[in-house]
Amino acid sequence: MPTLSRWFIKIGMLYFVVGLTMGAVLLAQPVMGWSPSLQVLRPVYLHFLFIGWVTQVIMGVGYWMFPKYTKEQPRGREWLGWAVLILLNVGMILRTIGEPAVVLAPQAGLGWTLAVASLFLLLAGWGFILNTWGRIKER
Amino acid sequence: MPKLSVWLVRASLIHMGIGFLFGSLLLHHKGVPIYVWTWKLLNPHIELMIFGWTMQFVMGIAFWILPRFSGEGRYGRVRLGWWSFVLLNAGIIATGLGGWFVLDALSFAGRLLILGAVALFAVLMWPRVKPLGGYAASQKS
Repeated sequence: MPTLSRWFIKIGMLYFVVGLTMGAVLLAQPVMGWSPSLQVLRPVYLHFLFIGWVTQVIMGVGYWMFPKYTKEQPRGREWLGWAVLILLNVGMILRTIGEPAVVLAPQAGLGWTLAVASLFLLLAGWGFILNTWGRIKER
Repeated sequence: MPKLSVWLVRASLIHMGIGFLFGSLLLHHKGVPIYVWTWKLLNPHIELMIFGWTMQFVMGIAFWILPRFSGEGRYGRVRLGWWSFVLLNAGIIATGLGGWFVLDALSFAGRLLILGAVALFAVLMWPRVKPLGGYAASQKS
């Protein structure tokens, strides 16, 4: 398995564990009488599972298993694959900070983190499509 | 990769690209507001990411990877797969537009099309979920 795929999949598993922990906290909050402000984690929780885990594992396995692009570049542009990994995860970290922050402390002026995260995540998604499109082909 | 899988996976990538764009606009709007109408993208974003991207991608890979039959028609009744592809994408577009224009009837019709697509896909794939060499081989071992 290529190094890049291992990074995608291992980071994906971390999101899976942390995401499910957040899900447990969200369910426990009303039962345990914890602060309702914990519910601000809901969009972060959903994106940890769908983007951090599912999409990232697809990216890792796809990079490894899809038909070869060419003999010289079997997995497309490797630098673009690494750029996708970095942009996606920096974007996810920024949204994890920014999404609760803009609700709980709007005066802190952290809205920019979400603007930057939105750009990073968009570039990551489109970068993956660009690098994968040519590998989706008939034998 | 068979032609149907190529179409399903490439369509899923298109849905992913649009879904990421909508999600990006929504996220930006949460931090730095853009347009008042941005929130209307939420339902189409969810539809594109769940059904258009993830589900459709899995269908494409399943059609490619699951055990095949020997000889002619090794992928099964492929015509069902093509109908499933058309109904699924028509359904996602209809449900997404229904979410955007707040037309519940259109969203419902879209959901029914997706249901039809999934039912056809299940009928197509059911016989391919089998032991190596077929059921007769599995009885011998």
